Amino acid sequence: MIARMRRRLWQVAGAVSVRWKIMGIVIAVVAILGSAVTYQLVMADVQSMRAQIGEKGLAMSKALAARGADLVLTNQRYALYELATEIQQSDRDVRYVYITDPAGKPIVQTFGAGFPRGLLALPTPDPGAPQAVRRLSTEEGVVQDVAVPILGGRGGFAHVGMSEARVQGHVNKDIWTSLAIMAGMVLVGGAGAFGLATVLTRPVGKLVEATEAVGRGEFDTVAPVWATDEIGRLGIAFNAMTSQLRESAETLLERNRHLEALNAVASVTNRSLDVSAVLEAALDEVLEVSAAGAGWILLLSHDAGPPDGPYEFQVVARRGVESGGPPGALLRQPAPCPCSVDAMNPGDPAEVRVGCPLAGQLIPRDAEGSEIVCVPLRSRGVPVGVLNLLYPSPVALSERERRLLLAIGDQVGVAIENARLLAELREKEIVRGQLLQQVIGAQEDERKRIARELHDETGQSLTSVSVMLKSLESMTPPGELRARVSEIRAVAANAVEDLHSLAFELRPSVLDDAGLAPAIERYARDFSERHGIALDVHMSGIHGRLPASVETALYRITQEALTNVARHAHATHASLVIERRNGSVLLLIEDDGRGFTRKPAGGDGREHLGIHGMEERAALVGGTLTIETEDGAGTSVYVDVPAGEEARDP
Amino acid sequence: MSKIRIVLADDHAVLRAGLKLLLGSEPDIEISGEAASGEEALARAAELRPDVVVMDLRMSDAQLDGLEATRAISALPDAPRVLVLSMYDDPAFMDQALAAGAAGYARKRDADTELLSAIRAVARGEAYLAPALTTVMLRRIAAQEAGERPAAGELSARELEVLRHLALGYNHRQIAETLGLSVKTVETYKARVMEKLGVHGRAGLVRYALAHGLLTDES
Ligand SMILES: Nc1ncnc2c1ncn2[C@@H]1O[C@H](COP(=O)(O)OP(=O)(O)O)[C@@H](O)[C@H]1O
Ligand SMILES: [Mg+2]
Repeated sequence: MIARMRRRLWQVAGAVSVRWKIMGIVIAVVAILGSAVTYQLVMADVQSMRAQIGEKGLAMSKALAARGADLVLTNQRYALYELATEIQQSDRDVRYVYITDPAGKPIVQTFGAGFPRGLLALPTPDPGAPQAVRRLSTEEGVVQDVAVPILGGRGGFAHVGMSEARVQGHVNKDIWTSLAIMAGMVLVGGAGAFGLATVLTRPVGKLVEATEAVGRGEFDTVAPVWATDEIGRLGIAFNAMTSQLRESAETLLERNRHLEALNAVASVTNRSLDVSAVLEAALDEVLEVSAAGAGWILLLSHDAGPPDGPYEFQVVARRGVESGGPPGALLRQPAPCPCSVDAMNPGDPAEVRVGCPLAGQLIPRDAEGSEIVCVPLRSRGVPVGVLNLLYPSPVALSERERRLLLAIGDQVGVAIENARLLAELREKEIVRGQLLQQVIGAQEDERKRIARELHDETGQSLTSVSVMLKSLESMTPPGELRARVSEIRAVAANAVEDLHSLAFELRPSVLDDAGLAPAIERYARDFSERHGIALDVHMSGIHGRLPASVETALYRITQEALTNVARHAHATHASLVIERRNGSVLLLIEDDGRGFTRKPAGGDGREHLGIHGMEERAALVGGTLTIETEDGAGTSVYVDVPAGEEARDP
Repeated sequence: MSKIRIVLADDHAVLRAGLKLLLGSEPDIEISGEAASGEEALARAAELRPDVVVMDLRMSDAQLDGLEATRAISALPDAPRVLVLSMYDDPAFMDQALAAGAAGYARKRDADTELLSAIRAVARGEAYLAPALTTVMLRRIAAQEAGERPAAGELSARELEVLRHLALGYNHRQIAETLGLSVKTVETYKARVMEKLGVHGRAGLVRYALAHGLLTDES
């Protein structure tokens, strides 16, 4: 509760400016002081005036009692009346005069218009006391009733009523005077307070303004310092602080700029893996943040020259310089030269060099006093090139700027290396693909040759044997020999059968001679018979011939996929769809078996080799292979292959 | 009764010798000529007018292979019958041979046991198919008939849509994406459609979709 009030108070007080607080305090103090003094004065005045009036009343009362005693005794009412009137008129403070008999009944009075009842109600004073003073509130104000006994009370009492009205008037006058004086004091005090407040608050106000300006980021604001008092010292401290702030803000901004630059370079170097695009973008970024007006990047040629011999460079990016060789041009530069060779020693710590004697010959500098700064480009410490920057005027690079340039150099170096590695990888991938194609092609050719050989030579010879045995058999009379011949013939027939399957497995000649559809049909029939899995085949649109490579690939993929179905799927039904549609051939092999979870390649190296082979085969003819499977939900193999050039003759 | 006159065309000399030996001992068969290539076979056939030409399909170093020779011989006036005797038992080769005009197709493997009856059948003007191939032929006819009348059930619009996409060869994930379903739901639909149609896989679905014109709006 109290705490809340205090908080409220501070809220209100806090909202008022210091100037008004000072003035308020001064005025309040003056007003309180003035009021207190006035009160004291007025009270004292009132007391003394009351006493004065009382004493005057007593004197007159006593005089009345003394002079009236005889008249009371002699009962001369008129004379008493005249005495009373005289006394009343002797002083303007006398409000009334009256005399009572000992019982308190008025004998003479000066009221004229009848005796007020209130006075009758007053108790009869004690006749023993020399006087009785009572203060009465009337509608005309306070009246002091002073009663003095006449002849010890035996002659009655003389009453004089003294009005205190004059006291009130006096008090009022006093108060007005005091107020006037106080107003004057407030004015003077206020003016003084205003002056003081101004003296106090103006420097503070300036400080506040300066602080606010600094808060807005105007670090070059200076607070005025007028004196060496506390406020002056505050101003000095403030100025010292702002200048420090200014410096650190500048450092911060610079660092921020550097970070942004590095970031920008990092992002352009990450965006693309094409070396020249990366380097041009990086060069642009560097020129953006540095004071350099032009620059070019030299890449150390792949087979770097001898340690002391001329180095071969390639200009890969150029901005703002006409010479330095066209992009792609080979430069030979003799050692040593900061803009090339010096930056190339792998052992040395990377260093930004300013100035190069040779660069002047390479790059005609149009402006006198321009300067070349050479930034080494390294990847994992190995030099890959140089970034040369042309500054329009001599430069003094700060440590921080050097570090920034080195960092950019590293970034660019890594990007170059990455791009090179990627290019290498791509090349290797292409070579691998070609090799694979060759290997697969050679394998297929070899299989074809062997299959032919088995069929056309060995197979036919064996067939001849069995045919000859047959004729021998028919010439031999029934008996032991004939049975033997028959046996041999059966062996030969078996051998032919085996040979036939062997040749078919190696490469069915129907694939070459009649095309994919008959080959698949044949394979599917054998498959169902051999494995007891119902294989439903649907083929459409491929009764014309496809390119041999596509036919071989699809046939081999079918073979492998169906082998997997037989070996792993535990399926009861399998389905095979081949459809040629819109320039591509779709091959789909599906089973209702147990499915599997594909494991990532690798591991023991033998895992998924069949599936990998299928993928390779599909990829080599420009197609894709997708496998959809899940534990317990069957397996579907989708192959999508471009149909290639127009079908050959059926 | 006159003998069946035969021309033997095969590039494999040893086999030819074996066949001559086999056929020579038969009283009703007479080998009137031999050929080692398609063009030779054609020449012998035209010149000797045999009843039957026993023709190998693949003959190396020949201008005409067995198939082309069969075609040419069948085109001769009053053509001799051609019995193809091949190492291969693929229905495709049989189709090709029959289309070229052959009257029969026998496997060399069965030559010791079947060749004689094959020659006699062809000579009689009948067709001859190796027993291994007749089963293929029968199965093919059966499959064709089954394909013409796929079992039909009531399919909902959604099921038809899923069926159409399945028949077009989309994978489950693609169908799920296209139709805004989960892969699981697509699989459920697929199972239901297969159950309703009484088929066991994609091939059956494609066949049904084709037969019911579900794929016609797709070029
Ligand atoms: N149709 C399938 N049904 C169930 N599991 C399969 C199927 N195809 C492949 N798999 C699983 O994937 C594995 C990898 O197959 P693959 O690469 O062909 O190698 P391999 O057949 O030599 O084991 C198999 O070992 C098997 O566990
Ligand atoms: Mg496998």
